[in-house]
Amino acid sequence: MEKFLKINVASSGGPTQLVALHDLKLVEQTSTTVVKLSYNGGRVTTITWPNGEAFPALQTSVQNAVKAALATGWTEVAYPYLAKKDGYVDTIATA
Amino acid sequence: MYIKMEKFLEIDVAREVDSGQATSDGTGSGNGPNKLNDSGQNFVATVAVGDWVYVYGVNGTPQASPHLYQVATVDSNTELTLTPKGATAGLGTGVVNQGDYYIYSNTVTQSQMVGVSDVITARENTPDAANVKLNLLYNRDNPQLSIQFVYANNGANDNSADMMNGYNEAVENLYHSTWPNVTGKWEDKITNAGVVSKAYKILSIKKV
Repeated sequence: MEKFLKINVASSGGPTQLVALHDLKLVEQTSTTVVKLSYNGGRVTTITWPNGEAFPALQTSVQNAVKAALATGWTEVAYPYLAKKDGYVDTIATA
Repeated sequence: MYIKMEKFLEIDVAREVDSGQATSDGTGSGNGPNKLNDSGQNFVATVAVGDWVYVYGVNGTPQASPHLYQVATVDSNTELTLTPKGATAGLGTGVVNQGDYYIYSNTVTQSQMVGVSDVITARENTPDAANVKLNLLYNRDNPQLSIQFVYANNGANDNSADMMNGYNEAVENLYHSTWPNVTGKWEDKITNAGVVSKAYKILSIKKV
């Protein structure tokens, strides 16, 4: 069953991007503006915030959203994540 | 139809309070024994007695046998007196010049989630004398992800086997819980004889 976080990018009313939760293994806040999601296959998705939050605020916020999303019923595929502090993130990139 | 259900262990992880590289020898042959010296630090503001010092490398080269200490005294902004911890075989005598270290709080933690589906082994991939590391290796077909736990360890008997037993038990319990329970707590170590006790402290969880 696929699940995603749905996140506003660039502005609070801006475009949305889906971030997959399938095979997610670890959420790490690596700086005041960056959270990295590590997946089973070794891929890492980096979410960058426009303004900083002290550790571990962003990590906790994303983890709580992951828990909430995975606890929703199967018809709720994309769980809206209101990014902590600004309501949106700057960029979402996978490497 | 088989659908894999994502499950996560929730673990209280110590807060990293400082990190750096020693700027002079804190062993018996230098300022020591059992000192950490770093001229660029402000230890009085960041470090408390009881915090954990994990020395993982020397000048950027990771050590196969890292050392673990607990802070006995905050001597000054640039010097700590340490008590060696961990298995007897891995006990250090102080932080050598250019020793790379992290310092973790003994009192402040935050919760971290670690996925447990797709884990194929939970073990110490490269045994270290101090017995402070446990690695999770993921993906049976093409292992690309490894997550490493570093944990506090008070003596020879608090070894990686106990942590592996504790991890395995926590995973079993986690999978006994049904959806929508997504997470479960891991905080215990277990001896081979089945004696359960609270693990000292998980110092860090990182992708390696």
